[in-house]
Amino acid sequence: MKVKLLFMLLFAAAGLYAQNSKTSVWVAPLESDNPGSMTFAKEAHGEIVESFVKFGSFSVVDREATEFVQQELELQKSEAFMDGKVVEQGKAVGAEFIARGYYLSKEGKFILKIVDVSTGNTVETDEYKMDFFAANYRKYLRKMVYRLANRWLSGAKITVMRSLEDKGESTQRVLLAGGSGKGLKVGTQLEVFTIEIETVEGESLERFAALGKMKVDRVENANFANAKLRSGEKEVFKAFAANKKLYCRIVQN
Amino acid sequence: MNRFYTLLYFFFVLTSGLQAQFVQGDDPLGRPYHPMVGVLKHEAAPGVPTKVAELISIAYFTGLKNPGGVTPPYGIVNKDQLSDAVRRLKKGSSIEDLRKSRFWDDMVGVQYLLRLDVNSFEMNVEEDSVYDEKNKFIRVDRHSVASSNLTARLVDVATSKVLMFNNFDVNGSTKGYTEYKTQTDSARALIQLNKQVRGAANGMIHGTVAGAALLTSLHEEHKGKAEAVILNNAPITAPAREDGLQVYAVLKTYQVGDQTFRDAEKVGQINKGKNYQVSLRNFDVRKGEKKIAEFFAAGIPLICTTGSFPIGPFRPSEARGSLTLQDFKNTGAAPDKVLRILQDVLSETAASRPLLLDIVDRDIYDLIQKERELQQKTLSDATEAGISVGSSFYLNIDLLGFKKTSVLVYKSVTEEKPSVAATTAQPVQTQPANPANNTGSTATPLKTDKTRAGTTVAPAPNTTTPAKSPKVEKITRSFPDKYEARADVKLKVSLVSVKTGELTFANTYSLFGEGSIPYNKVKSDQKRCEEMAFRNLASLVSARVWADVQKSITPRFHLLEILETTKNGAETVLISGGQRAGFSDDMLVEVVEVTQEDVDGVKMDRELVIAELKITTLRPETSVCKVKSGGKELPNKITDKSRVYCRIK
Repeated sequence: MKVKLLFMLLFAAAGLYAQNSKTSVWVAPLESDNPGSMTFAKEAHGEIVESFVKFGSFSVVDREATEFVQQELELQKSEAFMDGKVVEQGKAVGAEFIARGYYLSKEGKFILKIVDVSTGNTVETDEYKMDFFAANYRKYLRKMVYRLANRWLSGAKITVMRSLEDKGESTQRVLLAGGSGKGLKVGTQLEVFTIEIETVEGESLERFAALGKMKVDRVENANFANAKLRSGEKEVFKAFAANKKLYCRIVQN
Repeated sequence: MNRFYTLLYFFFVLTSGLQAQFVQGDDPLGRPYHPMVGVLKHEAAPGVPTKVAELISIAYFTGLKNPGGVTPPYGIVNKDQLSDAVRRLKKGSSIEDLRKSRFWDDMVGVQYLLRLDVNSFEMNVEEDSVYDEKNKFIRVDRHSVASSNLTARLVDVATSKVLMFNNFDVNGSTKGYTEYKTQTDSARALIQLNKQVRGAANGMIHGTVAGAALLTSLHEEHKGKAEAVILNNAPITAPAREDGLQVYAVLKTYQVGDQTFRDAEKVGQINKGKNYQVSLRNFDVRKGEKKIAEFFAAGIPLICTTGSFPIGPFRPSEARGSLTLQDFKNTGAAPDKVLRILQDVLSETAASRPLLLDIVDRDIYDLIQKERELQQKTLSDATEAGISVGSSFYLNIDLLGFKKTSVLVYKSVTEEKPSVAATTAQPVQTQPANPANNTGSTATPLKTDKTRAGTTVAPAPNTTTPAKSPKVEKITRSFPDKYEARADVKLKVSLVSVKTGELTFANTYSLFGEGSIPYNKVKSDQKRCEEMAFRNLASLVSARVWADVQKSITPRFHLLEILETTKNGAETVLISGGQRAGFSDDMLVEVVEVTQEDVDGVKMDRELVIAELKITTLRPETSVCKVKSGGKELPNKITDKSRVYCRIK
């Protein structure tokens, strides 16, 4: 029986080969300067969590149901599940970033900061001040999260894998190593570039050399998307032919 | 002589007992022909009187055991009694010790466990104002109304899958002139309530637990048509003559990984004919005479069952996710009953909508585990061990707010009649009532007041009219018209992946349900109206939540076989998932190929839609699809089945 269980666990561990490129975020409970506004802060926290989930580019990890999740995982290790259906053990996603929210009740202001767990640095921040029409605060909170997420993701460079379609000596469509997990949607405008090293006073600096513009025309999944070139088709073709590494970044989402 | 009658009596008793005996054995697919259901001790919510809960529980049990005089297609074991017996047994007692126990007969292993929860019980006195025509007076009728909210759940012991979840209200009322007999009336109301409980239990689990039998031979055949057949056992002890059994031909069995899929087609129907003999188990063929004969001749197994699904016993399926429904959080501090019903209606919908997910039970998991241990101890082979379904998702619900309001709506009726002053005024001149009635006089007709258009003013006939324009008095009277109620709820819902701890879906719902009941002088109508609004709200919550959950989960199905190929590639294919998975005709399905790409040293999954299918024939566990696009590449792609899956578009 135990050998079978061991085999089952090993089999579960064998599924570690593929990865998802979504950025993982934990939305910490909203802090407030006024204990009386905690109920409101809790509702606002729910809205921020929902906004991150609905944005579609993040793995939002939950810490409210941790106890249940642990119980269930323990239960699934028992013999009753030997030949049954179990989820893979040890695959819990850890948060790479923490979204920390503050509600300043006197000013009616929400502040949202994204903190990098590995360095403790704040990588992005945004705020929203509630106006008289506080009833719409949910809508504005969502807008704030989307604004912040778009800005945050547009800074990331996405690898351009290869050409999917060539016409003569110009590239028409390319495969991108980023999909919905990188915030890409059909219609997202991108800039394609190579990285060139320039030496400035003895110091090597990266320079993004733009080659052209393109537009996402298909999002395959969280990891991959296709884009159609709008300009620089020949330059991109040449860069691929020269085995140069190509990247792109979001210009407009 | 007396002795003769006694012997005769015993003969009848014995022979009638024999009629209930059938050849033991399962069908070749492993489905028990006469499943056993263990009824657990009921659970009463705080506030429900113990005796009342017991009475309701007994009524429910009776309803299950004797559904309308027909022998049910399952056996019933009282696990409540058994739990005492098991407790008394010493640890490590041998099978022989157990055999000697007077509870041995009850120790039979069961395939299903059923528990009834008594969520609430109320006894109220209602008042009806009734006009007594005979005695010409309005009398007030008082009667007691007993009402209760119950939940019945049926769980598969082997997998812990919830097969049926039912939250229902029962009421018992005795009407009559019982002004000072309330006490007696209460008892009668409870009796009525228990009658309703029995009625509700009757047949509640029939379709879910029905057994199956194998068609062993053709009893009568004429010109290639099967007219009567013989079964290896009668899957239900006494199907009424009109209740036929469905006949399924198990065409092929597919194995993908450790999962088995049976491609079974419904080919006909059989029923008990006039010449039915218990010992022979001969059934008349009602539909599909030719097909049954053909399939039988070809050696294809023919399975007969009352319920259509499942064709085989339940097995965990990789293609489907599973979900545990835990207790809601109650931040909004709503009444317990509200919380319970909302929760139960969600479970009910989830258990009855198979496309979504398998619902697994963790509420009574300890009891399921006890049953499994008992089966192990008694060497019972009732269920397969070790095939529990683990939960892959967890639905987290926080009730943020709840309120219900109701009002009695009045209807205003405005009547107009000439004012007393106008009718008594002295006529001063002759004037016609209106131009149509003009009798030739030259006098100017009366102007019609627009605000009173449509109303007829009846002046004095013929020649007289009030001194001034006729004054019309408006009399507005209000009548109670109807009760209107509204129930509002605010819920925070999130779906958490057990594997990763990620939120798959999160949303906050602010929903309301409405109810309306015409005013009928019955005091309790207001409460009933509120109940109606709440029930409507519960259905709405359930529909909305599950629709959103379904969007966020994509169940995966397998491409089992290419059935037809032409020069253009695959034309028709067979996929796993059919009626049992909740598929419907004309559903569009995508075939997805999963490949891996190396991105800077990290392997990433890439999913490409390689073909599009349309379901043309639905079968219990499979579906035949027409290939709409991508048929050419399909034969080469499905060689590695682990890399190809199907999903609903």
